[in-house]
Amino acid sequence: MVDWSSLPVELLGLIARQLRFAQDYVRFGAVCKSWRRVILQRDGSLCSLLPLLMLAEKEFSDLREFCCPLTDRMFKLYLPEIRGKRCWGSSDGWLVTIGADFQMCLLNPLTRKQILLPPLHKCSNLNTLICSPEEFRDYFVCKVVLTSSPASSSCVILAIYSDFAKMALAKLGDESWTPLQSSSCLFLDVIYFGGQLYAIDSLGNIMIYSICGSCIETIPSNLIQSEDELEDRLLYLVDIGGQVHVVQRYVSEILITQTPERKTWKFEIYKLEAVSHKLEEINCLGDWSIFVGNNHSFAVSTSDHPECCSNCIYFTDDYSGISDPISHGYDVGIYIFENHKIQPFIGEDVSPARFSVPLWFRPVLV
Amino acid sequence: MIVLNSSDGATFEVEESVAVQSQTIKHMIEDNCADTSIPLPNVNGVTLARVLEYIKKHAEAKDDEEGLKSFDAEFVKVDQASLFEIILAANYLDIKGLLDLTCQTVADQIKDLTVEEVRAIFNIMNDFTPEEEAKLRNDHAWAFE
Repeated sequence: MVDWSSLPVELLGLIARQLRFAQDYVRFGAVCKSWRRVILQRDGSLCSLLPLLMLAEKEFSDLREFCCPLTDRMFKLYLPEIRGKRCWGSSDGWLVTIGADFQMCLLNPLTRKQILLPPLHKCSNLNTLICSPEEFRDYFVCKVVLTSSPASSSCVILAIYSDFAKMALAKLGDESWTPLQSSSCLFLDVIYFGGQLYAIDSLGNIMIYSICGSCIETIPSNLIQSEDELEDRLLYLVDIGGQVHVVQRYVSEILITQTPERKTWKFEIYKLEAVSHKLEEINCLGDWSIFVGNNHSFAVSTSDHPECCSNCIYFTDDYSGISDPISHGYDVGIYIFENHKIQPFIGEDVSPARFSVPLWFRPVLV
Repeated sequence: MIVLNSSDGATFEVEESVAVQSQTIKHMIEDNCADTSIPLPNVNGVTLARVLEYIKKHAEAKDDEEGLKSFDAEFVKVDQASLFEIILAANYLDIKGLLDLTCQTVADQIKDLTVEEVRAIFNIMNDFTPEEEAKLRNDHAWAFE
């Protein structure tokens, strides 16, 4: 009689690694104690769960829906603590949340643990705040990203705020935010890479900052030629396979039924050459899929996650809903790089909470 | 040709070029431990025969992706006890492809089962106390619906 509970831990780990949907992974740990020890290991390489789409807040409900469009499965989590809060996703299992009371937190939706962040509204580069706490949540803060697991010593939280004009960083345990050296540009995205911060402005220029906030270098680009083009382009920075890439997202007004809606119609990707700092367009992502939008932009290797569509960009809405009311659905879907076609995700009602939009997020159990 | 001896005394002959799919055997040959035959005290005859079937097929049909896929699918249609032995053997003999295939097979079986069904099919004793189990299910109720 064989004893499956006595299988060596590394082999149980190999089996658990194939359970990439969060529910299967948790159930694996409920079978017996030795199996449970495997999923509770803090070794990041063991847990490789699939990214999930967290849907927007529903009226009158404390349940948030998480769906895995890659496998058509979904589940609901009881999360009253994020009702009324605006959230951003990450690839490290935690959401960044901000409520209508200036309070900012990290939340792991699977464990419901929360970590309080220092008050951004008291950051030294904000002189007099003239907006209400709701306005602060709805649009004064533009994007806040968690760059790595809170368990890691290099965990940094980055915030873009004040009409995209200001940035600040915080490490866990900090009592206040450290502002980044300001300039006259509008910041669209920021990532932590190689011990430094890379930010991209609305014209495609990339600024590199040190961890103490001073600007080390500016890499000029000619991605966007004129001010006219700004309306229809969004830019993101992503670390794909250890190299910084720029993702350019084209949005335009499309007539849906009788109402014009802003929808994404194209993506372009550029690799930032490490030495020459030139941007080179690439037309194939190889074994990667990337997730951009209302989250810390991240890439997933499809050789480790065959359920993800390789050479594809999964995107959500991170530009509308705040200023313009959305009437016919969010701009969420998959861009297939190979044939430049878009598969939209549909069937979701727009939340009456305008600050709440769908986001991509990769769960982590511990 | 290489001679392999299983734990229960069975002898198998296999070409060296095929046998080196096992990193363990490969290192033994390189370290000159394979003069007469290679003893494999951790693998019984029945399991070793199955493993050899796998590596022989993967050596001869190396470029036939479709053929190997259907071979692999049939290969893992065995009972739980045999699957267990093959996983341990693939690990001991360090045959990555076979280890990945068998672990994926177990994972695919588990995916569709409830916790109780997994325990029944894999013959695993529930060693949680009722309180521990209740807490587990309560903490992550969403996973057990």
